[in-house]
Amino acid sequence: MRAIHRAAAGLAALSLAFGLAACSSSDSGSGSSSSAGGDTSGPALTVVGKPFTTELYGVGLPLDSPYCEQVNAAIKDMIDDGTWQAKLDAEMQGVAYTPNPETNPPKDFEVCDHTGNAGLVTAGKITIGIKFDQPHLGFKDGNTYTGFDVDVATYVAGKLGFSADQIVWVESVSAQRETLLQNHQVDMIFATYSITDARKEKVEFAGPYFVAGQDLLIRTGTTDITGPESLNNGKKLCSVAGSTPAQKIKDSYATDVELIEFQTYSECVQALLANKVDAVTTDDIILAGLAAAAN
Amino acid sequence: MTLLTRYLEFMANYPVFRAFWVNITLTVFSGALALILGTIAVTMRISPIPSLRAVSTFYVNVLRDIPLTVVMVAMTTVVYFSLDVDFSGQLATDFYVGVVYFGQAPETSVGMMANFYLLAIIGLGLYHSSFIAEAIRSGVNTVPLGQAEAARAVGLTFLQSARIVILPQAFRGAIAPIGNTIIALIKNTTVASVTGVAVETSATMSGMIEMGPQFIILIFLTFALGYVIIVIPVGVLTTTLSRRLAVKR
Repeated sequence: MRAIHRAAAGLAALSLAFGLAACSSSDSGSGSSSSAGGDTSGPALTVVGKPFTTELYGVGLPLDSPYCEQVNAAIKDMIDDGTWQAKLDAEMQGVAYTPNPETNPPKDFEVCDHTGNAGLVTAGKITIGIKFDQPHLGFKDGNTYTGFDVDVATYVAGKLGFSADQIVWVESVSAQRETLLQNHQVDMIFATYSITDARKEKVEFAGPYFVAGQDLLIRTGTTDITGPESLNNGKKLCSVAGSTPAQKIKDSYATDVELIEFQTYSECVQALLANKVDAVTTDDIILAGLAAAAN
Repeated sequence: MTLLTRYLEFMANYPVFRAFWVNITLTVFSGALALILGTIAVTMRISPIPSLRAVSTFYVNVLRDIPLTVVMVAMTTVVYFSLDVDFSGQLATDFYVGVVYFGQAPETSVGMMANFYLLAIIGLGLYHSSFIAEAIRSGVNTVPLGQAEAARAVGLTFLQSARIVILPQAFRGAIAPIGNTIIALIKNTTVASVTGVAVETSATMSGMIEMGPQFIILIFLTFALGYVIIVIPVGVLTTTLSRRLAVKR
């Protein structure tokens, strides 16, 4: 009887000790990684190399939207009067990142094949879908929305006649962007939305307003990763499950690189900082935003 | 080419059957773990020792109240990233390759996937063990008090009376709630994608939707139909077993 009491007390003490060890080691773990970032007096993560694909970020519109030509004109104005470059520089301040100069700012715009007379989702306001979880691109910070996508969307909405407080921001998760447009739950989408032929069957694209490319994010100081080919000896690569970059890596480089897939980029960045993976891959501007947020 | 033939061509690029197989194996292993842990928890709960009862009550209540997604995220961020508990040794990799790929290792190395697979099994097993424990406890309540008293009168100790008299009858009475928990477990295995298991159905579905948005309804129907096909036999089995094995009093 007493032996069993002692065993139960031992079990309780053990689980308590385990819990305390978990708290202290996770504190020391985050402490050591932040102190490592502080010791190397520079950023902890860097975007490496040149982008090795081309992703055109377009403005998603429903097939019967009347705004396609106007959006194209607004983007062209934004590039011509210097606002595009100014907003991009402001967002990417503090990150060693320059967009691919061969393709940016974009010069060739999509042809508007479709037109229609669809009304607005809410009369008097424009409903725009963005990402809420990509820092420096489309990010919800309490009640404010920040990021380059948000900046471009605000400018385009301004040219269409909507002031900043006439914009309703809606979260558009990757898998639902086509559904949101087809069901007229949003008027347009600025959510790092790549133009592909498969998507053009369901939605209309204006723009592009940015030309990104797939690239790699590494811990600063990793000298043996310089591009996608250098991943080919047992390195571990992280991306988001089911995303386009993950598919491209699987198709082109799947021979020797181990691909880890999580649900969000923040988990990938956490794994990178905890030395569990060697690189994170997605579009270069998203990587720059993640690096800026982590540094 | 009709929409259906184009979709079947598109679907051939994705390991849909392997994805369902991964979910089925996750169910089997985490179900076994949940049954073992749940039985231990309920035995502690009905024992005559107050400290064991307290530990079991605490365990069941904590794991029932934390959402499954939080438990699964904790398996990667807390257990793997912070505590450095790593299951990617040779034994774990052989187990993973044997179960999921039937012994034929894929071209890429799967050490980390084996690690995430085992973490997912542990997370799912822990979470569902609390529900199994409560289901078995409801079965224990269907056993008449006279059974326990008679077992004591005959001279059986607690463990003997639990093993020989109470728990067999309790299990037979608790087959329906246990079956319901297993059916919930089958569908909850899709949360394993949060733990990094990328070869299972919800991650595969996200990939298919991203690359083939024109087939979105067919993709949804494929996975829904697959799960219906898996769950219906389990449900029918649960009902027939619970009726046939019920203790006739």
